[in-house]
Amino acid sequence: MKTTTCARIDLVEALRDGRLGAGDAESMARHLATCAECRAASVDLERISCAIREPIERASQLDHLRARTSLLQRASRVAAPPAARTPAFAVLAAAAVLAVAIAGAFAAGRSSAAPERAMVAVHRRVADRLAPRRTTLRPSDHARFDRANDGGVDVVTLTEGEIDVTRSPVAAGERFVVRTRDAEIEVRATAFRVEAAGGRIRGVAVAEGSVEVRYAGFTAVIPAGGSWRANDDAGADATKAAAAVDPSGAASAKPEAPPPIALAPTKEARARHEIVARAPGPAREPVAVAIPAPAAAPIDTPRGPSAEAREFADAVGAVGRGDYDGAAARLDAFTAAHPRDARADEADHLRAIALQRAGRLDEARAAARRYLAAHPDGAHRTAARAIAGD
Amino acid sequence: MKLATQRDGAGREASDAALFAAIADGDLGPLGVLFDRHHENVRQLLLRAAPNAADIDDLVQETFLTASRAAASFDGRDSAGPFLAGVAIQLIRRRRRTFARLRNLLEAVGLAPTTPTRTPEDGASAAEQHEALHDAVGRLSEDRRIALVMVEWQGMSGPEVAKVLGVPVGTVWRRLHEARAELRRSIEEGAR
Repeated sequence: MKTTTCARIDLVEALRDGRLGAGDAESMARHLATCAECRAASVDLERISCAIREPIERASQLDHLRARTSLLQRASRVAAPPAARTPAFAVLAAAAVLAVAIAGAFAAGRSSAAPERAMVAVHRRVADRLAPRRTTLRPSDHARFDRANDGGVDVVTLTEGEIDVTRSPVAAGERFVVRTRDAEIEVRATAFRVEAAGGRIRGVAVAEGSVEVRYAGFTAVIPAGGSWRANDDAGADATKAAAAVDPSGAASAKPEAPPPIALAPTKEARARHEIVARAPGPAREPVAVAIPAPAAAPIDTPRGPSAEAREFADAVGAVGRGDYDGAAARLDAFTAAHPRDARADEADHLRAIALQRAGRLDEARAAARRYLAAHPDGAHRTAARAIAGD
Repeated sequence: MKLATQRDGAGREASDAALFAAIADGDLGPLGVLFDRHHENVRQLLLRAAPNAADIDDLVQETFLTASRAAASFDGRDSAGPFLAGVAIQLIRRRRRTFARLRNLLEAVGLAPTTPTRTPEDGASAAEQHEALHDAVGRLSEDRRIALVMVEWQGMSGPEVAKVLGVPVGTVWRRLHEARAELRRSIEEGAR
């Protein structure tokens, strides 16, 4: 750097960084107009700033998608919170000692059944100890929900999609509730899944613990292993549900056999595998009502990525590996199998990209046009138009 | 690109603060939304602050993972941009310390890599001068480059940078001045 002669040269930087007061800044600005050396320094600083701010190519949509998928996969594998580390380590150490002891006993030729049972018990205790101690929500990709503290009650309002909830034991005075427009699910220590559509409850499946469902005028407890799916008629609104209960006290419909669900009235008969509802009105006795079986296997606990998520990830992975033909086929199969999935938009767009990279340009154009037709306001419409050549 | 949104009761997109609050409560769903909103900004910051890093994409992901673990410490401001920038910068510095240990180990056995240096050519073209300036940015010490990028690209004030880096604000101004002085020398050498 040239030898400086102007005594105010250092103030050029101070002016740029906003370190001068209003008066000094005005004075320095006037000085810049007359001092060639300070003006040259100012130009250099601007060049440096431009070099730093110079645009760098943005990540491609494919790279973004791939990174997003990877991030969420990594996040779901995050270990238990630090607070649990010390006791968890102690449990693990104890488990290791016990495992060694069991292995020793096994090697000594003793019965194998006891060690197996002991290992299962240890595994469960360790898993329980390592489990998060708070509430974990795992929404489906298209889930829409809000969470708020309503007068001290932790409330999740689900309007669309599915949420898997894992809740550690609720302490005294704590309440956790999942709501839809027409139902409320009060949570005990549990792991369960709630599904809603259009703000209305569609189903509840309980893996562990129990939940109390308040819906269409009745209250019922679903124990572990139980599930329930809303009857479309009953789910329409509480009035229709109440009307579905025969005033004479008879069941409005017969439960399907064997009953797939274990619903029991609050407190009185949780162990009974029957469905009990309380119709609105003071004089009504609890009566049995039919609630259809779940349309699909409701429980999948612990829940990993859904089949749709795996299929989509496989297809994205194929693009990443450069297997563009395979990726296009997978993406085509994905949108055909799951046309209403939230990722169908992405799949259609990625398929056009994969076909283009595979050199199947006519098919790529057709795929891009299909995307534009299916998603005229889609997030990738600009890129799709470019591929389509429109 | 937006793959998902989460909305409040009035149909507005949830704020970054609301998303972080949900993450702090154990809900990982909003992490994807935060990624959609901020990943490009974080990536661009990292590309500038660590131009020689070969694992930028991994650093971007690590930034969001780290931020999700520290979600409870988010101060609730409207945009998570400065918070994520701070996390990203801390990751670069942590990685540098790790690499420094590796480098010391390699130096001990005579295997330390050498940093290529550029020799300015007489009568360099404008494009070459431009490239030389970028190379010079890459050769800045990481402390100086981080201060420069946080101020010039991230638009943070000196006190904000000082807070993120955990150093006195005077240190930030000094690093900034040294970075600029070094780059100005590079500009002048390139012009000769």
